[in-house]
Amino acid sequence: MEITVSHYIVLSAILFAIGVYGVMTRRNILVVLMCLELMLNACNLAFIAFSKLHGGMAGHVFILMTITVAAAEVAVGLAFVVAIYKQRQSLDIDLLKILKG
Amino acid sequence: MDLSTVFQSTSLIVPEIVLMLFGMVILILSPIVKNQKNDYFLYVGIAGVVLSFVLNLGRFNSEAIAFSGTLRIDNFSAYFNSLFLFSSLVTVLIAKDYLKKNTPYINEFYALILFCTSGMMILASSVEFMTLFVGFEIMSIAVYILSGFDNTSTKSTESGIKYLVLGGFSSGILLYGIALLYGATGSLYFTEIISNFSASPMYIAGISLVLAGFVFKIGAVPLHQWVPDIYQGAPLPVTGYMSVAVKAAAFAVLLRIVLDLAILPSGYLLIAVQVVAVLTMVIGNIAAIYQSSVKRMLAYSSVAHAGYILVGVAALIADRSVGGQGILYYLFAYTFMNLGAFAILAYLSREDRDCDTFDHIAGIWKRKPMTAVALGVFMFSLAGIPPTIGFFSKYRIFLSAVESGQSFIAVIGIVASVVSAYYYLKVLVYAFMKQDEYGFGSHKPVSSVAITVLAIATVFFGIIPAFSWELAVEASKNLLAIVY
Repeated sequence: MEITVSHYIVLSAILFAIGVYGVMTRRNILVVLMCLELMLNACNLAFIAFSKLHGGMAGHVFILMTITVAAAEVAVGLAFVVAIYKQRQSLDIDLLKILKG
Repeated sequence: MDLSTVFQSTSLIVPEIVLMLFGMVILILSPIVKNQKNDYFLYVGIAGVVLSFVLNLGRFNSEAIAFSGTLRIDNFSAYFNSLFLFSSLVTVLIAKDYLKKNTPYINEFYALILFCTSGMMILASSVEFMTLFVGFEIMSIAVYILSGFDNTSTKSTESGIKYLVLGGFSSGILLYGIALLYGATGSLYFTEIISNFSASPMYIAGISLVLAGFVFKIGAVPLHQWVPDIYQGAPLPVTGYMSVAVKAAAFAVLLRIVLDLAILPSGYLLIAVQVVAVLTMVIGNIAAIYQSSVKRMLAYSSVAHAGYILVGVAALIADRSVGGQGILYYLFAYTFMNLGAFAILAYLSREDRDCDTFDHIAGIWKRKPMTAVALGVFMFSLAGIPPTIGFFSKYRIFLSAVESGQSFIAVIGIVASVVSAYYYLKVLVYAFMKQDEYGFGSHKPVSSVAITVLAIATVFFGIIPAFSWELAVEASKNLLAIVY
């Protein structure tokens, strides 16, 4: 079977869905951050596939931007993880409920 | 693209570059300077914002395209940039008093505000998705850090990580939407996306995901649950900044996208915006009534105000000749009144605790009568009672809904804003009629100047709106005149 562009699109959609599911259900902040990365990387895969389809470079360049942004986001996220772990000795999302009305 | 084009494009974004350079100077020099007691970097930050503001004034009444058509600099972006720069200036001034003793990293705070504002300015000028995404993330990541800025407070870090996870989630959705639009049309430019339009499922899914990403950022129902948590946990000046500037930036892009890309199926789009606007107004206002924390109350009130602005968006979709001015003017008005409300909360906060519950504002009238009067001005304005700017802007928004033939939505909006008067006036009941039990923070000279300016502007533009209204009309003309 030949692998075509549409296979990559389906794969990226599946990866994106796994990422969304993970962000919604996982209880550990680190795993949630990993699932966010998965979402962004699914987008990267889609960009590459579409770039191949249309034959332009815009998709390739966009990925460089996305990778940078994802790295910055995770750097900030890990800083928060450290601050939260220092305060509570736990990374369980269910403990983040001080703020409520 | 030769070198002179690059220079020419670069010269067009000097206000953004100035902000970034000043931010970097603060970041690089602040660890070197030994004497942390002095406010050198506050002055550097203020100088950066003011310089950028002055340079931005030169953008009014000019039109230019920079960086091979990715940035469009016109009245529209100049108008929004002035709002962002003004609100960042006020935020820096309030933060100076508020953060002084709480945190050792105050210089980084100024730098982050400058970076965040430059991201917003790029966002307001962008007409291409790559630029849009980069501007969006420069803004977002800086705001994540700002909302979790006080790392000694469990509330602040909790607010920071929640905002990061949910904001990252929304930017993932936005990015996937952009990828689908790119797949459907083969371009990232708004112009080319619209000229390659086809009613394919991929295009519609893409535009829906992009809109969902922005609905999250403006905090409209159904993606509004993050707003109260994050507004309550973030440091007060940051909350004011988020509620005003981040929301205005998201609306700026939303307007461009709604007007340019979401042409079809516009019948569905109109219904969707109407439903979201009504739900946002109703749920925001009802939830605000039940809050015991003033911060959360103002957070839900900012959800409700997003709903009023969405009424204007619905009017704009139905009839392009009305609506735009109202939205732009509303964001202008909202900048003054909401920043003012949060500035007063920051002003009343003590070092050991924020001004949070209604009891904390009880009895201001006896202790600080001028602050109480200013609070009254802002609450009246938020509730839309004349002669304040809030009344005029709400009048314009609902008038545009009526003019575009959607009177029912205007009626719902008016009823909702009557309901909102209940919780705004409740603040004043506590401020003027109750006895003070807790005591307030010490006098903060810089904040009080900022509050005075905001309060005077709120009343002044309410009585004489002509000048500011003209600006909004000009800027919206520019938005509509773009022919792709």
